[in-house]
Amino acid sequence: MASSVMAQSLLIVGYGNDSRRDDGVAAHILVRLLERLGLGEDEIGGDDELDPEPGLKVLFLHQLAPELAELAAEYETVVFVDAHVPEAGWDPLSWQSVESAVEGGMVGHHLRPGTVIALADQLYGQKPQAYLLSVQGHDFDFGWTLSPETEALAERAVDKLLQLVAERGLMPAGR
Amino acid sequence: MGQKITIDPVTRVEGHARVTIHLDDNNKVAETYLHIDQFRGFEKFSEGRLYFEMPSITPRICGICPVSHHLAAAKACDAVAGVEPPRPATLLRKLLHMGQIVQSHALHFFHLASPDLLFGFDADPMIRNVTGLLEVNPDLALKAIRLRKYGQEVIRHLSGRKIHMNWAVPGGVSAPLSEASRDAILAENEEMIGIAQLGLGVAKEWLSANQDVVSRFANFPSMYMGMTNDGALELYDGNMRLIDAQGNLVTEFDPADYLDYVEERSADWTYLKYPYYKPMGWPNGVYRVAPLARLNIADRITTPLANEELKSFKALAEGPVQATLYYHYARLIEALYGLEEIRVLCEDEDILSEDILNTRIQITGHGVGTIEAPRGTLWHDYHTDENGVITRVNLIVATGNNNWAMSNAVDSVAKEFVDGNGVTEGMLNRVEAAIRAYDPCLSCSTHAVGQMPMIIDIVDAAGEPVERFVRD
Repeated sequence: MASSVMAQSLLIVGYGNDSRRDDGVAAHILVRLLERLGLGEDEIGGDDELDPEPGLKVLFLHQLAPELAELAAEYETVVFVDAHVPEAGWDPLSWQSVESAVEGGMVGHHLRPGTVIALADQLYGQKPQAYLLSVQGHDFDFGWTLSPETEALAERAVDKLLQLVAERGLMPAGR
Repeated sequence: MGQKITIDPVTRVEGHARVTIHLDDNNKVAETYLHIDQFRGFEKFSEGRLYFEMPSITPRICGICPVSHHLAAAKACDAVAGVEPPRPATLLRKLLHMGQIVQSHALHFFHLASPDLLFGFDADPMIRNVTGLLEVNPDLALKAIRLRKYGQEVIRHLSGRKIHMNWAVPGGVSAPLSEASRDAILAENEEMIGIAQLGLGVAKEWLSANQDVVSRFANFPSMYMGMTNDGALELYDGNMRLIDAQGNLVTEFDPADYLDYVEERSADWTYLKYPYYKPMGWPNGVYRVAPLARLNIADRITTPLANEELKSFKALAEGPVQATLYYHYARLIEALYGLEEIRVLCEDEDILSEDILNTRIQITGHGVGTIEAPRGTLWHDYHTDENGVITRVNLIVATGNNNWAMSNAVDSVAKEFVDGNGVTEGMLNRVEAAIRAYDPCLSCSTHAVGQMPMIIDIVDAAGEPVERFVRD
């Protein structure tokens, strides 16, 4: 498995509930990222995952689940994009390494990023570098729009992801 | 002075929940409560929307069973629109539903059940999880993930998406199944049946070897409710059947008439209501739903391998199988049924038909959609104005239908296994496992880091907190 991993390849996985306002900030970030990579609205709107360039996949999920590990194992780097509540005590725009480990108490049906990486390692023999880009949420009520505070952070998150894509030479050709 | 124990969050259970264990003056468990602290406001959120948006909106309630909400909403919209889907559309919806049953039950087995079954309740929590499973049986873990992925792929082949689908619509579905997709689904079906049978073997072996625990663990009588079709297990469309604790038929009814048969009771310690059988009142009318209930009320299963397993299941007791831990067994039998049914549906001569949508819409102003979701009976009930604008919504979700069962199971297990004089990890894990057996989805509509689902609190007889266990 490891030998098939493309150098500099990047998987960006956003997750959250986009009908609970800031919980779904990752969906907003990924749409804007794809727009700035030059994809049109029709291209973005049709699926939960897109491959703007060989070696680059952008994926949005409601929550992380075990089968994601198989996909993660195909990439050199995985970036998870999520929201966090103020009580987490993190920076409003937080960038941190994800360690390969079963994190926390395995709460709920969803997995944590570190568990996805642990599964990729133990089941598929590939441990990608992994990071969590997390944006502080301010309003988790029903609704599809972001709070103004999270909206501002989302723009900075897009800049961060674009920088990452460019550094890896994954900007779509001709875009 | 008595004490109170609170578990928060319940490990590996969806949503925000809390367990409070009240101890008496001798430090024995007096009473245990399950609290669901998150208010679910989706009904209000939906008002003012056009009815045909509901199959797209309501899957956002849940990250693990969006298909169930999608299909229940589509069925309710059929009734609102006064349209009957063509037969091929119904077959395709059933196929989508079977994909959902398989992926959801596979996830429960992999993520929630197998760590308890393979390591036992007293194992070190550091290994009693997926990591432990990977170390002792990586082959089983890989296969369980493949089974889950297969269910997800069935969903993707049909709807084009794993989440946020807009496929089932009033009067049918928006896209047919391609021959290539049908063939891809069939190609892996037999292997997946083998994986389900492997899981069944694990569950049966554990249940057989741990009869002492099984018989003492939340083993209580209740009524059971589920959908049947001419007496056979039915998950998509049929009549509701209710049996009593001895297995006698109490009633059968059209699920659209549910308000004549089901009523909900509120409690001041939880946001989740307690549904019960209305003619018998509270608490005599309490019932259980989901796999154990569905197998208890069904006379047979229409697919051969699952039907053979059903016979073994029914041989466990003279009447209904009551022990909570048999939910694990029943869930895997349903997964097997789902896989066999996928084959039946894919081999139906109408499955590739493009006659998939009835567009002769005439707004009726009201519709009820009922489905057997992985976690139990799910009702969507919509009222609209003459233009199809939603004016009122009532949802009774599957986990809600098992609220009494989970609460009773927690209370029963705490009384049987928890000793306030020396609370151990294994005792608390048993309490959590009682909830996990029902595979609840308490409130998965948000998940942001820092909002974790559950707490166990210990409180004394005077109501003063003594100890708190936080799982994360």
